[in-house]
Amino acid sequence: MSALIEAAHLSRILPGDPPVTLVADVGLTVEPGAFTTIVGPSGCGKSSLLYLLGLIDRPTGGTILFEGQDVTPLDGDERAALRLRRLGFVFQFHFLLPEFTAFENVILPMRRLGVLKGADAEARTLQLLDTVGLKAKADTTPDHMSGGERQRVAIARALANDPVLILGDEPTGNLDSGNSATVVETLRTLAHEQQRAVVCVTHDPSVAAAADVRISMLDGRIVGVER
Amino acid sequence: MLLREAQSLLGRPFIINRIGVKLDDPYAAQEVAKRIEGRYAYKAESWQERSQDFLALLITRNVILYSVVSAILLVASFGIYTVVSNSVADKRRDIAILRSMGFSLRDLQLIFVMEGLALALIGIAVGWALGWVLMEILGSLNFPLGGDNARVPLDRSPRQYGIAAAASLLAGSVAAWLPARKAAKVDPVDILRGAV
Repeated sequence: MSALIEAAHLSRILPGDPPVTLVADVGLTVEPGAFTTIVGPSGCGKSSLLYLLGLIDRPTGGTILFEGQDVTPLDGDERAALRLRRLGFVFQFHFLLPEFTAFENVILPMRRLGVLKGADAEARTLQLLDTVGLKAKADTTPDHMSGGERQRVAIARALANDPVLILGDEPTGNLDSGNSATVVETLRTLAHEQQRAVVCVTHDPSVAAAADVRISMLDGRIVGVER
Repeated sequence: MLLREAQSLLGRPFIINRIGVKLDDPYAAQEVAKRIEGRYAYKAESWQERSQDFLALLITRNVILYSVVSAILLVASFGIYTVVSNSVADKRRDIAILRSMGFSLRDLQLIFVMEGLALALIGIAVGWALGWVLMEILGSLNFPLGGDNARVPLDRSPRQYGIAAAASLLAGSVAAWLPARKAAKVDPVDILRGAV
């Protein structure tokens, strides 16, 4: 199976005196249909690597091929357009828009992309909320939901534009074990049954244990890959 | 009436003090006066020259009027600037979320400019209503002048409302656009990692 992402000699160094190395000479591939976790101690560069792979941050060295295309030289708007069409994010803090209902949060990326419109977008939104078991909470705002429910809405939102890559930054970091297991199972299903690539940064051993590929990092470098 | 008859009636035969010339275009008076002077060698005076002091007064009044209106517009613009600027600061987290979703910098700027324009539109609607009421009150006042009841001449044409709306929209757009540019400078990485 061809790789969705191929990163080579990837580095991210913050300028300063002295400069701070977040990611150093990292090479990895991400394949569709696999649930990958990146583990390591705090400050080892896991999240920095995730944001580089998610095209939110720019590497100071190396290249990233996304679906065969070198995305390193793309400008901010080109990266944004690619994120909108092909990527979905789930963060530790659910990061839903607080004034919007679950339905409005999920439909927002669809409205921006504009491929699905009107009733089609609304139907897909309800279907996604149904997938994460929250169709009944479509009209509820995040402040009236539990942490697990908010995170599941965030997953539904990440799926809005049918992305090929889902990135999670500690997606279970704020959840109890029950909700955490539900979220992990949802992410595994997305990878295995829908052939999406799922990459999550985690401290949680139970999440790492559920992964198909476990990447270990230390001091900005990859020190181990388990399959 | 013939000139001769008018002179007899006034008891001043053979004397002409003044001849008034009425023009279709009153603003051509200066040019016509110049031509009459050149042709007949008599002193000819346009209404603008005769009313120079009064016209200067009107110009001064207009300068004061537009200065006051500009100052009010500037204050209103600062209000919009402050609201949008605070909004950008308060919504840094939302900006980071939208950036991660794939909203472009232009999208984000547009959101905040729209917020400023919405404020400007509300201001225009309220301003129109207040302006209309004030004009009604001002137009209804009687000023006894020379035994007549005179009223303040007011230009209540839609053009005046249009000019006010256009000026407010322009000021509102600029006032919103300046802080909206800050939205583009928000670094989503720090916020999404929970560092900010």
